[in-house]
Amino acid sequence: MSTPGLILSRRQTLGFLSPAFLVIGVFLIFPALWVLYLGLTNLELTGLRAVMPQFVGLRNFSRVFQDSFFYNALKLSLAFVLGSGIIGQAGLGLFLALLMYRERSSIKSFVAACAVAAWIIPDVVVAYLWVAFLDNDFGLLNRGLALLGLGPKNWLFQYPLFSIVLFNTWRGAAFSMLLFSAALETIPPSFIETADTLGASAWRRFCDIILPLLKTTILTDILLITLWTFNVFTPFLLTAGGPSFRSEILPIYVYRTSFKYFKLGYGSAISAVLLFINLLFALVYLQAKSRQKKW
Amino acid sequence: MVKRFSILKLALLLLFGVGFFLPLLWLILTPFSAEPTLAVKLPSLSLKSFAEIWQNRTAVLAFKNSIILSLGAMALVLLLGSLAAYALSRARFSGKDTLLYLLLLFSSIVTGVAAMVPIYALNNKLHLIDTHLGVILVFTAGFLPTAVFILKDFIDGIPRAYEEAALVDGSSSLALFRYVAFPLSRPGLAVIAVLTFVNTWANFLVPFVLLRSGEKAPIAVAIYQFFTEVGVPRIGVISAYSLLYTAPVLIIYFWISRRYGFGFFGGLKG
Amino acid sequence: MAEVVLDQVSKIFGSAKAVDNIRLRIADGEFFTLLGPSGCGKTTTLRLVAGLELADAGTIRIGEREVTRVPPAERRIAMVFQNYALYPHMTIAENISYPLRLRKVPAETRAAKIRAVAEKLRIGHLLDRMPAQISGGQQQRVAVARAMVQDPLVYLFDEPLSNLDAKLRLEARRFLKHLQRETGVTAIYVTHDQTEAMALSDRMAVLKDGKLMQVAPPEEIYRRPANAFVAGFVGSPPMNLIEGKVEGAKFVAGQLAVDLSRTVNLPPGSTATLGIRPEQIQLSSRPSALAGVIDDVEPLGNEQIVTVLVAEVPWLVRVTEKTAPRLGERVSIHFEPSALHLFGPDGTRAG
Repeated sequence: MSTPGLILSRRQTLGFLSPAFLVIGVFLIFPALWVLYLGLTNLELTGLRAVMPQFVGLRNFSRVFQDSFFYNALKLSLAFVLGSGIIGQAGLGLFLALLMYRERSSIKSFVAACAVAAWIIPDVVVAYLWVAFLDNDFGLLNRGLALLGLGPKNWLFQYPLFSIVLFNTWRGAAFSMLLFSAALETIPPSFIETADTLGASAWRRFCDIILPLLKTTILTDILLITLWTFNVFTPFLLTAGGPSFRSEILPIYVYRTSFKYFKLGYGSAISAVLLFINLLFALVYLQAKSRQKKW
Repeated sequence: MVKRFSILKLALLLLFGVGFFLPLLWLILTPFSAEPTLAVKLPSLSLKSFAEIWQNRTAVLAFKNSIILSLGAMALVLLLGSLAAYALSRARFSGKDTLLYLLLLFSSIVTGVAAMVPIYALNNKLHLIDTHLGVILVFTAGFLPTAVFILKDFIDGIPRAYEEAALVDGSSSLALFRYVAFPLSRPGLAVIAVLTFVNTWANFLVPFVLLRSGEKAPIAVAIYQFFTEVGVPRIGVISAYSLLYTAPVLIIYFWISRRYGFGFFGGLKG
Repeated sequence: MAEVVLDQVSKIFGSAKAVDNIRLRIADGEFFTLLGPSGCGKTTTLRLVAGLELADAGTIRIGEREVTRVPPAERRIAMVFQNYALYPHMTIAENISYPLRLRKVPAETRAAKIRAVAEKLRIGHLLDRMPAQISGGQQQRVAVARAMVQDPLVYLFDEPLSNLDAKLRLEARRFLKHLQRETGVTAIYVTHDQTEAMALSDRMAVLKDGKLMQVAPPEEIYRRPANAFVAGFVGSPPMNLIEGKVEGAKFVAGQLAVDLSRTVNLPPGSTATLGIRPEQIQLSSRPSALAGVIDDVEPLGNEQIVTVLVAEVPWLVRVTEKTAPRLGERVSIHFEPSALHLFGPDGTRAG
């Protein structure tokens, strides 16, 4: 039944592949491409435009680029990615990995376990944990600050962007920490010990030896973190983008437009822009990875 | 001098350890407290919050829904994924690897709310809004590329000799798959099953967008409803329910890391 | 240029004593080797001198200074690791100059020093290359260059030749010895290769299980090993060691009886180990008390290693005659009684 030399004939291969590719095609690939089309319509969820959407050309796209809410969300997203992604997760992750390098104490295991727990606990739960943590009257953060003599703050209300930056850093640092820890393990101990005998201070050791050897890992980490942080929706559960849109990062902005106001056509235009930005990030990541082989 | 630096390092580590630990404290203490609030205090112990969960219709129903969604996605991913992985492993055509990498690329780009907009519109057209099937299909499509990637790796490691022997004996390719490849790839299948289950169990966005009625909602959405509903939030139920919801995830992730090391799910959790 | 003194130094890892109460005095300008099988504590001892490990007991002195608790950078030592530890992202010149850059030595002085050292080690033409672009032997010399540029009081070498292939190893060995002679700086060298140790050292220490088995110049270690372990470890092919008993003036092991022809400080009936080096045994067809059968012949070109079974005990004999002995041939073995080594029940030399 099958051709000699092959375990699966062409037809059988196609047969085996088709169910999976059908599902992927319909529910992953098609929407990604269709969003471009949808962005060119005025589709909405209710009313006339739900039943009879019209083609409106590039009007949605031009509206997006004139929408002050879009720019607000873009600005907040950039700050969010810089703060909680690059400085927060990648920076903190690297710092923690360095602190834990060559450490074997129980403190290290404790820190690692807590950081990982923060990373794997489901979204809704961590969101509520932080609602409790940041609570104005009862939250642990304010209680802790009170011990230091600092006044309580209504974090989610007064500093919403800062709150979600802090939250997301806490949430995601474990990934970078693990990645950098693994990378540090690949450095032969003799490299560090040579530096010890040469009299390099910890700072010099980091700058001259560790950082150059870790360069590619840092790059890939930053790219991955940027992609993920850019798209993360969980802060919605903490602030819903408020108050007064002060924490409305792009994903929340898309949500508000598409699913609160049901403007699917307009929302698709914004989504298309976002997906395109994702594509750019992914391509840069692939480029960096392929260049990594050279070294 | 060396000693001083180590002390500084340990102190910093401890500081961060506490920082990571503090928000978690609420989850550990409050479910067992007789008077659950947002505050963290040493509780007078009580299991009444857990008892309340059983009496809460939404909570119990949501649990059932989560099981349906996760098991459904798991079954579908296993079936479709193993078939596709088998074909990609055994078939010979150029561009196999490119195809796989393209799929992976797609699944990492098409993510988040931006992806949900067209998916929502699509499901609407297909009358899949507010159905479990719709959610399961979207879960499956999202995770299949990763699943196929991992499974193909496993299957590549199974010597072709088994199938070639069966072929000589006159087996059809479907029978090959069913009686030879599928059973032999069990460890890989187990991993995928667990990963799919955990990923979908914890997912909030997809069911949040695609489901309407409260009765279809899984645990993630139910918890969200609990803490955004009007009135005094039932903190006891929320905390106890959250703990029960989280426990399987924690257990499974630590079990996997013990067997395969942490690096394994670095790329998957995105 | 300094002597190195270890006084009752110990290092414990977990429950194991890696270094057990070691006392060593290494003279200024000496090439001193630490030799032993893996796990014997030689590398740990070296790292203790370097300051990469902290001693649990005892003191270490380099020159006039006690350095037991001093960090590596301040001990004025320079270490060459087995894998050379050349930083892959720095050029050869940058690698060599790194210790100088750390000490903020001005650029001109640096350049001059690098040039001098590179010339001496004949790597001047490699200065702009990256470590990955040069051979193993060249990498090794760069590592040595980096050590030289620091003007240390002591050089520490951790099996620096192990990663080179056999031919390169010989060349590098001679080069290192010549260099050390020229600079006159104390060198402590760790190896598991006893030929290397013999060839390079002014004096060497044989270690086992963290303890010193013998400290002496190579000749003495070879000719008068202090115990059975050293006897069997140093020398290739290894010394014949036969276990048995001392009875009167004879050594007895099963059917074997060897006349010792001298007084032995052991109570009669003690267990003992008899030793004799393969090159000190002659074969002949003359009949004698020690007669046996050739069991194996290893032809090595300029010589053969012959195994003779005498009284069911295999004896290794080094034979350099043109006529090769044949398997199964009946021969007898002969040696001078003075060539015999005798080790007592605890392994130490008894005569």
